[in-house]
Amino acid sequence: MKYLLEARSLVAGYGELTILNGCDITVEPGSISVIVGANGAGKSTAMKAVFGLLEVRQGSVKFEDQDVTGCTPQRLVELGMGYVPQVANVFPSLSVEENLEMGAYLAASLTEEGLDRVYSIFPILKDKRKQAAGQLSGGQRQMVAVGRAMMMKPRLLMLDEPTAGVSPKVMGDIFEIILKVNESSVGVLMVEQNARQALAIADTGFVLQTGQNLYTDTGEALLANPEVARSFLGGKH
Amino acid sequence: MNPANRSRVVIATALIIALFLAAWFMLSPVTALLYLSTGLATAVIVLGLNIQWGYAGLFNAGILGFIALGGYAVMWVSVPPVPEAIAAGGAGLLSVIVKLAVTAICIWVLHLAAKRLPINLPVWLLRTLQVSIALAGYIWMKTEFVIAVEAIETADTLDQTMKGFIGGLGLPVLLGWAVGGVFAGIAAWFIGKVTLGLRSDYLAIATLGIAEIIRTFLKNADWLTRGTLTVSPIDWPVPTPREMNGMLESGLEINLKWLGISAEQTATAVGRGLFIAVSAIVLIILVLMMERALGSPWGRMMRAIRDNEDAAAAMGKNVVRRQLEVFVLGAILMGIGGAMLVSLNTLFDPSSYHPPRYTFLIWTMLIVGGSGNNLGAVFGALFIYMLWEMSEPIAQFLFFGGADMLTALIPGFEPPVDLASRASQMRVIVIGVALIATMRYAPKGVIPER
Amino acid sequence: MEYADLLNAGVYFINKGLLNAFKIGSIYALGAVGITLVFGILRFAHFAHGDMMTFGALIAFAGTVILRNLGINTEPIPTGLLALPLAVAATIILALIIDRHVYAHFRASKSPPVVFVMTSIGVTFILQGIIRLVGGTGDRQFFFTAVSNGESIREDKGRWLVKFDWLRDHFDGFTQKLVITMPQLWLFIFTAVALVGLHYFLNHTRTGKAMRAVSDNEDLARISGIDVGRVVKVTWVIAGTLAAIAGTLLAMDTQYKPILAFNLLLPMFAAAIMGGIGKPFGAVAGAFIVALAETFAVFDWRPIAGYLFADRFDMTASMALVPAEYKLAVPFAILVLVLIWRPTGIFKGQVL
Ligand SMILES: Nc1ncnc2c1ncn2[C@@H]1O[C@H](COP(=O)(O)OP(=O)(O)OP(=O)(O)O)[C@@H](O)[C@H]1O
Ligand SMILES: [Mg+2]
Repeated sequence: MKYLLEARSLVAGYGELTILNGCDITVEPGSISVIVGANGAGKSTAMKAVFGLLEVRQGSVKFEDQDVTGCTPQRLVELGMGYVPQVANVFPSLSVEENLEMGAYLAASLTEEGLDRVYSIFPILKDKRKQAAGQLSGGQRQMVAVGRAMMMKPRLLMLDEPTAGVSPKVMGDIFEIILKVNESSVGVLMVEQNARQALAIADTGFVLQTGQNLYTDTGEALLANPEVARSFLGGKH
Repeated sequence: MNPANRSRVVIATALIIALFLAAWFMLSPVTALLYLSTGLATAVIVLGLNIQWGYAGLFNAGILGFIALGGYAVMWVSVPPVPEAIAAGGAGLLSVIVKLAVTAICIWVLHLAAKRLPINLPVWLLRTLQVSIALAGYIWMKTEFVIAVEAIETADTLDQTMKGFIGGLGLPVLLGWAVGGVFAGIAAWFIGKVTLGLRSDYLAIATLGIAEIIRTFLKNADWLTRGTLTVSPIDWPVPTPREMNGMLESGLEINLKWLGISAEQTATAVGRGLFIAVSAIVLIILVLMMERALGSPWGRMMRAIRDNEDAAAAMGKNVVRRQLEVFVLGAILMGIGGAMLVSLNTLFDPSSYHPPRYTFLIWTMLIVGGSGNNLGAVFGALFIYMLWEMSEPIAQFLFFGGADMLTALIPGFEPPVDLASRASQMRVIVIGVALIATMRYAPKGVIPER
Repeated sequence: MEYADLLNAGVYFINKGLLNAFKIGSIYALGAVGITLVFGILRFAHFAHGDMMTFGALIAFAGTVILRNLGINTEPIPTGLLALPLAVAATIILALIIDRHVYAHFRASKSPPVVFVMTSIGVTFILQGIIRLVGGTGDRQFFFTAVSNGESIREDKGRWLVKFDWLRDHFDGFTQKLVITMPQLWLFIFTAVALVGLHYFLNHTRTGKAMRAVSDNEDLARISGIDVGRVVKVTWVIAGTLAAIAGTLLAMDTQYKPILAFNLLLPMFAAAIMGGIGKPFGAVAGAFIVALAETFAVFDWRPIAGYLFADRFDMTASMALVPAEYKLAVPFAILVLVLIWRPTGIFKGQVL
């Protein structure tokens, strides 16, 4: 198996609108892939298309060499994928623990073990487990969201801007967590605004523009590419 | 009009004519004419709903309230006053009105004060104060009101058919049609002030409730409406069939035998024909006015608001204000239509206003006809109204036929005694199915918006 | 003023005021919980809810007639109660059929809420028609005399009297008593059991939690692998069950009418909105608040004033704040006030 996830020439959009014009996204087993790009480039749209939340009009999605184009999100979760959306990624009126339980909805037997695992990664959540997720701080909410997606022990974790709205300290923590998750040979596909840090830990990077791959390369190479640096990494080196 | 719509209009017109002819030959010419004129008056109401929903996307589930207010208005304007009742309770009522006015002014002044004066009153405190004043005003006038009402309802009158209520103004009935619009418009302004800006199904619930309250009030305010005793006759803007008959006897002979109308029916037919002419003129004038409004910058703005409220608000349009205008305008048409209906029936019966008939049937008419399109609204009104009326005799026919068959086949089978009233429920089902089927298979209606 | 009068006034107040409010509040609560669940999960105001209640009552009535004619008599349990499971099952099936053949299509095409509301109005039409077509247009009593095997059996509504004998012995002139009819008693029992059960279900079972999750955030629920279609079905099962119970017990306590529940729609919506959409227990609180307000707005205080301040008032006119005909105006006023002041409800429900 060369790729854990292999999405080729995706075309997708909302209603009449076409946002993705044939973009490619791949994740190798146990590696980290990062998608960067300007606001509105179609990064979130690409994630949604891969996860079966949008109709894929052309192109294909394969997970572990199995064609999953057009599968329901439920099926993808069963197969071993987890997804954390960019916004509205917790159930606000459910408690932290209930949020996590919902992550293991399809396999109740994994609940106990999953809770232990998530609480050991995010100890703070254990203290807050009875609190409604809507009352948490932005960073804690993000932890709940990531925790929920990890309950089923996915082999591919998809994160849409996991560090949005968190303090630099928590941002560092989240990157560390991602690395830690990745160590246990979980593949990670994430969208990041903090492109510099993200590409630094990325095995593969994709730079999207108007729904197409502008650059595809290793994280290191992209960081070193002056074109990419100028338009997407901002200011100083 | 685009070509696709043109053929649809032709088909729609043919459908209406077919139903009309069916009523003409299966029932009677007079009945067919009655259906046509009721359909025309209803079309004015549906036109009003089209403005609210088709132009602006406002979900009004209280159409009945505006129709009933229009009906009350035409009764009030055209029926003569009852002097004995006014002598008995007029002074008391006047005092109640003054007290209510004082209360209203207090609330208004408070509103202005909070707005203009430099004191910073929290909104909840202001509202609480206003509600308390309203409550106090209510208690202040209640006893006096009860006494005045009692006096009016028990006053002895010379004319027994007018006993128990205060009467009206005794003015021409056509004025009553206009006043019907005014009453409904005023009510809509208050209702809109409070409820517009709510999410669509909240608006529906709120308007539904107000309509029920208007209905309850008209039904129970015997001093104002004679309640269940009903008020009749109410005048026509043209000679009524009875007056027509008088004229015919006095030598004005019109022979309509060639139309299949018997000589006895001639008077009725001519009278109804004149009423239809007047209704049609009113309807055509209103349709033309609405078409102009829709094509004007105001109409374009309305549709922009309907299609994307947030974007329109972001562009600096005063969305709620525009919606209020449109809500009032639509209600005025509903009031006029309601007045026309009461005038046509020559009877004001406040307990006849039932939500299925006067709110939801109107909705069905618009949805089936094609919301956003005035022509569609008129078509839907005529078509659905005739379908509604015709499905009753057809259901009766089928039901009694079926009952006879079962009685013959199964020994001891007895059809329920209330078979007729059960059969008449079929039309409710027919309309429900028509509504859901349209929503599902032709969500834009028979004549869609251009 | 004597103590006996005070007692008389108190017992009268409980009997004619509070008990009534609790009875109607229980009905509203059972209906409003269904409405708020549907509102929270399917995201539209279900106008046909009242007719589901009436439908349940009609089936229960039909079942009662059949059971009585079979000569089954289980006094003191009313026969209508034996027919209740049938009514519940029929109402659930009805709700599921409607959902499958009507609402599911609009859900699949992601129609706006207005379309659903319009459609539910169409459903109201059809249900009203069917109910009258099958059950006739007249009113019907659950308690009647039936003839079985040549023997005529009469069933009474049954009542539970509290006479306070001990107090009667001690206070001369204390005459008031509490009267609770059997259907009312059962209504209170069913409401309590249903609400406790619902609380357990929503907070302690996986399906219940999944229901709350869908109500919170449907997309995220899908992403988590929750079967939203199943949650929708469960919602209808619960709403149908509660509607059938409420309709049947209301009809048993008063009588079955084809428009049994249309007038309940507004107070139930008022309760659901007041409690905050998607919050079943907010809806319960809302239901009892609406019921109390409504009952005491039209409550005639004359007898109580008579006990407490005998002869000091002219008591020919009613002492109710609002004439009984305008009872409907009370929940409506509450609804409007809530919508204006706190559109999210007093318990902060979701903003749809
Ligand atoms: N639900 C939707 N309906 C219609 N258009 C949408 C929708 N969601 C996104 N779009 C449009 O699709 C385009 C791409 O959006 P997308 O969310 O994929 O951007 P992004 O790359 O994730 O941006 P950001 O960095 O801001 O998250 C944007 O132009 C956006 O307006
Ligand atoms: Mg994004």
